[in-house]
Amino acid sequence: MAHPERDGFVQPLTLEERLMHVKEAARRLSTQWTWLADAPDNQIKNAFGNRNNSEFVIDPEGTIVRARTWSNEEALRKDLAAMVGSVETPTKVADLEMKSLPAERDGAIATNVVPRVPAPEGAKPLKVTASGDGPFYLKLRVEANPDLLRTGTGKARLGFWLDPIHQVHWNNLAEPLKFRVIAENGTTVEPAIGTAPKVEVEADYDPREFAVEISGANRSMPIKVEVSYFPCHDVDKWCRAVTQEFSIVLEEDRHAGKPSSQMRGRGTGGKGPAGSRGPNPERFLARADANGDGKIAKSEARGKMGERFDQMDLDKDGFVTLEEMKRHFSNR
Amino acid sequence: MKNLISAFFFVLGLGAFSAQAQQLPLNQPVPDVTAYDADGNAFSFRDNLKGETSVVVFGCLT
Repeated sequence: MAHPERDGFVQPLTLEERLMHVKEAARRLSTQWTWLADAPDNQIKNAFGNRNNSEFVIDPEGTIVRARTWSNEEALRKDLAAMVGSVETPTKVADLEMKSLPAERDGAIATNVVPRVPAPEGAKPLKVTASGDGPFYLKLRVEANPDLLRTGTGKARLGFWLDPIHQVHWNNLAEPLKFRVIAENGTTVEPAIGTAPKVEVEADYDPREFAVEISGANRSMPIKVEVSYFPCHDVDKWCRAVTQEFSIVLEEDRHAGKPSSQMRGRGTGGKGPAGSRGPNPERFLARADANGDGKIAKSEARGKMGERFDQMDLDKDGFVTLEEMKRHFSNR
Repeated sequence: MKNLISAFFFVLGLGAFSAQAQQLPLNQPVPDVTAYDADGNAFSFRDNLKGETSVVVFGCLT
């Protein structure tokens, strides 16, 4: 879970936090199946092609015999029927009685009381690491504009998020969050220090965000950020002062969720690249590609795609490739 | 009903980007990687995903 704009989850920093995410995912969907967490270095995701919603069938010898960039229930059923036999009464998704529970947060704690700071135009999340062993109640999410990523000089938004997985909220009766940037070797960050605005309500969950200008940064020189704040635990009821330290690397973090300005019209479930508008050729291909060969045969094309197959098959070889699909959508 | 025993695993992943998307592995042995169940027990893909048909699905809850 790595989209802070959806319930406030920022990607986990440790294996322990990933295990907490797994338990939270099972709770929220009320599932009975086995959930697995990837290692902190995302080794499984990398080994399986770095897709977010891919699907694989593995035969009893341990060989991957089906691979899809996007999970396809109908195709999977056919695969399993062919490989291990059909069933008289197949289980439907509805039979699983999955729920969609919200994050466990105290309803008495305020939200949407702190004004948001807009992310820079075209912002992308940067890689951020944390010092120490945790627990990391607070996560730093940094979103940089393309200039900053390309040249080392540009705009960024620092977002300090309380991670719902740790069930803490801001204690607004104490001093507001303060941060200090420690940039070296010619890198400058303005402002290099900041204090969150005073909030009228006693407690809230909202992120504390700051717009900064960075110049002279480079990938080999991480920018350190020290942050002090006062959280309280929703359940255990403790309140304490906490200091954490982060390092920002001037490199896009492709495992992080998209910035808020690019999140449009998506709900929970990972059903497509966030913020995409109009037809997504990759998604169309992945859903239709029942045999996982990377192209659509006429027998795989259903519905409107079936009706338009001949239009899309530009070279008339009987298959629609991703490139042909892109050209078809761009010409509409 | 035939004896349909398949293992189904859901791997909780990160992010909406396809991070440097690569060719999907196909017709090759399952990668020698290790995941962790909710209790932190290591789960070797290569050791465990054999002997029966298995399905691995990647997903992102939020």
